Amino acid sequence: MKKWFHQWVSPPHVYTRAGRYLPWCLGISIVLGLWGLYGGLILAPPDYQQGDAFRIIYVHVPSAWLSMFAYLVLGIASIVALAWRFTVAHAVATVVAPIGAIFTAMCLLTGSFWGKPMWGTWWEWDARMTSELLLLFIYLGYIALRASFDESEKADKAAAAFGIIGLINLPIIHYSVYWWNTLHQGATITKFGKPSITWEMGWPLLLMTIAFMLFFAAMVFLRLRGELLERERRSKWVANELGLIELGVHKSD
Amino acid sequence: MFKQLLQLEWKIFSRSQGQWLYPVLFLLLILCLFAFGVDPEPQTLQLMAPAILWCVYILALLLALDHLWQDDRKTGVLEQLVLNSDNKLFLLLMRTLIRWAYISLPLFLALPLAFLFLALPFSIFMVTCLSLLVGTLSFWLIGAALSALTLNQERSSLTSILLLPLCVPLVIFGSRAIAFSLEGLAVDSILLMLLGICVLTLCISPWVMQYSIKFNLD
Amino acid sequence: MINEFFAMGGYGFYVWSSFGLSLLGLMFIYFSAKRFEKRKRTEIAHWIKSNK
Repeated sequence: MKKWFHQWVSPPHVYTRAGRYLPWCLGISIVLGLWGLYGGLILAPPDYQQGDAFRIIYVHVPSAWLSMFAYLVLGIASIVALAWRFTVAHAVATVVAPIGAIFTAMCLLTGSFWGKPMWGTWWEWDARMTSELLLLFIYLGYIALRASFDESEKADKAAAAFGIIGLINLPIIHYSVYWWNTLHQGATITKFGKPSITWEMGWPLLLMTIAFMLFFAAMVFLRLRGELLERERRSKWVANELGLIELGVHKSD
Repeated sequence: MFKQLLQLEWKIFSRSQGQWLYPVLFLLLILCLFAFGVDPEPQTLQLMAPAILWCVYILALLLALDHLWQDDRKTGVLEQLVLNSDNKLFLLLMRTLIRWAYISLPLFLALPLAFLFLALPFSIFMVTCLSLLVGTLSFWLIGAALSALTLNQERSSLTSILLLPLCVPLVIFGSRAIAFSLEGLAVDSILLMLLGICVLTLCISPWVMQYSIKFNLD
Repeated sequence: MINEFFAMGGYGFYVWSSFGLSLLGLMFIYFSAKRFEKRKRTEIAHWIKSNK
């Protein structure tokens, strides 16, 4: 049992597995994405209140969900990294950050384009948008923190600590921003009050979310492979992997 | 060790030739700037007062946070704090609290003046004081932890970038507490939230500080 | 019919911009990841060879 577990977190093992799952995740994600787009853009009827503009939901909500999910992955990886110091955990945290940041940016942009025709302005201090904005700052801070260290060991430790602090803080931030927004609104209607979702409108959303998640996984796998090569550059399995052992290039035995 | 920390702080204070007043002046000057920035009607000022008060206090503290641990490192106090194997956490916490008191107590002396500048009624003084006290303490604790993380970095604004998003709840609850008390609404729940956040930071911050200083010093 | 599709009930600009930006974002993620992985491969291969 323990051997299986240790095998699981060994870099070469993860490297191979990631490479194997990558094309599948990507492929299925594209298929589901296209299907979801078809359902959302063509099949679903226009909303009663928002007309065709509501269709932005099909990219806005998956982006939002992914931005939060990515941070969850980052946070859990940070906890594992702090507690057990697995290279793979540090690598995952490093790799997820830029991807999560872009999803957050996408969410903010699509939200802005949704808000302009619906509420008249490009930016509203809406609860979710504000939360996402803060999340973007946290991602950027995380990336900046990592970049500021020269030694990768210290960068890992600092980033793991900050990742966990962010994880603990995010629910508090989320709650405080929502509370702050209700003071402004006075009621329980959130500005981006989703149209009451019927299954007709809902199933493409589900598909798009799953497609985004699989895409996220595929991209993490891709970056993870590069990151693992970097971190384990001195090891035999990397030399092996890059086909350099046969050339008589040996690491000290 | 604790006594030594207090003595150290007192030495810095007595030798500082009034430098401890600088943040106070800074605070008052910025308040003036805000007043210049708007038409200084009492209503306008009161409306913006919670936000301004909080932002200004945080800015004043932020200046001190950037070099919080750097100075200790130079004087060798940092090694002593971390190498003392008995009660590292307690010492780190005490050091942070003492520094907080040293930096922010003068700022609280400026609070009555701030009230005058911002046309705030003194009836809400207690609530404001309390919310600022608890809030700045939490802010300071998180800031000290993050400052320890970036101990070796020269770029001082990194700490601020990391710190400010995490402090949004403090600013929200803190300034709303002042705003609510201005309107005569109940502030108990808000103050409790602030207190809760403070307790949370009290628990987490020393660990982060110890962890960060340790790996940064190697 | 196709025109209706592009017009999106008058919201065409916003809907298509959103989808366009999202697509750009996803492609950015993809290409930057690809570039990263490729760059690491060549970099590390060089490093191993030169550090023999």
